[in-house]
Amino acid sequence: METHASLLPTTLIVLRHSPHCGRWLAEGLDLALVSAVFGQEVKLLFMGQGIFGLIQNQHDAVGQPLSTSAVLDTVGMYGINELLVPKSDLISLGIDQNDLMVDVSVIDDAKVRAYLANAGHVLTF
Amino acid sequence: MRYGLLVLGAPFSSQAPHSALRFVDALFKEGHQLEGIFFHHDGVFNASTHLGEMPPHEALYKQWCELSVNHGASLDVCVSAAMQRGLINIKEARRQQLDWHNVAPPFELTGIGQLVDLQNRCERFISFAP
Repeated sequence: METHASLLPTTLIVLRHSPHCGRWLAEGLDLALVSAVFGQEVKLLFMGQGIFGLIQNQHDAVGQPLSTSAVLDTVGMYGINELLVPKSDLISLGIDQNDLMVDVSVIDDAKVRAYLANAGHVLTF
Repeated sequence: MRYGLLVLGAPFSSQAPHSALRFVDALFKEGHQLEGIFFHHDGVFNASTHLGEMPPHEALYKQWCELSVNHGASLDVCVSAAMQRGLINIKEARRQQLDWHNVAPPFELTGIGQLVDLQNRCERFISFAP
């Protein structure tokens, strides 16, 4: 039997800012978790500087682990299992997929376009 | 068609709210409906009564209010993002025993649940981000 949640459109949250750039990443992730709690199917697309949010072992100005890293550790518990990263952005930023703290799907630009086109809602942070 | 908008930019540093209002004008001209607007991130500054009294922002504030009064659009403001930026309504001010507030109706402080509800009520949901 299909659940009500599966009938709702997918929400694709695009994260474009690094964790040290204001509250963009933190508030985008908050939105992702709450949307998932409310039964939305949520996918996260880390683009450009947003990929820096996925780098392991980052700390804030007073040496504490980044709060966004803790949130990223828990997204699976909220049913958010698709974390997407464009391959072209990884290459242009010189980041190795093995340096990322969580399992992500590395996708080509055609797939980025497809995810954006097929999502019911696209919210950009 | 029923539209909802997400506004993420402040009136003093971003084109986003200005673009959103121009978009609203266009969708009314085309015969569409506006269900509501959700303000998040720095977009919550659009709800500031202080900015709403200060040139050149008072015209923008008035236009948001008119969308509620004339078209019944909801003006929901993320309570978490608002409080991070020092924006509170009279209810929160009383709760925190403060003698000031800077968010007033038709803007309402709400949770992300309202955003999810707005998304699901609309056939089109558009983000305006810096």
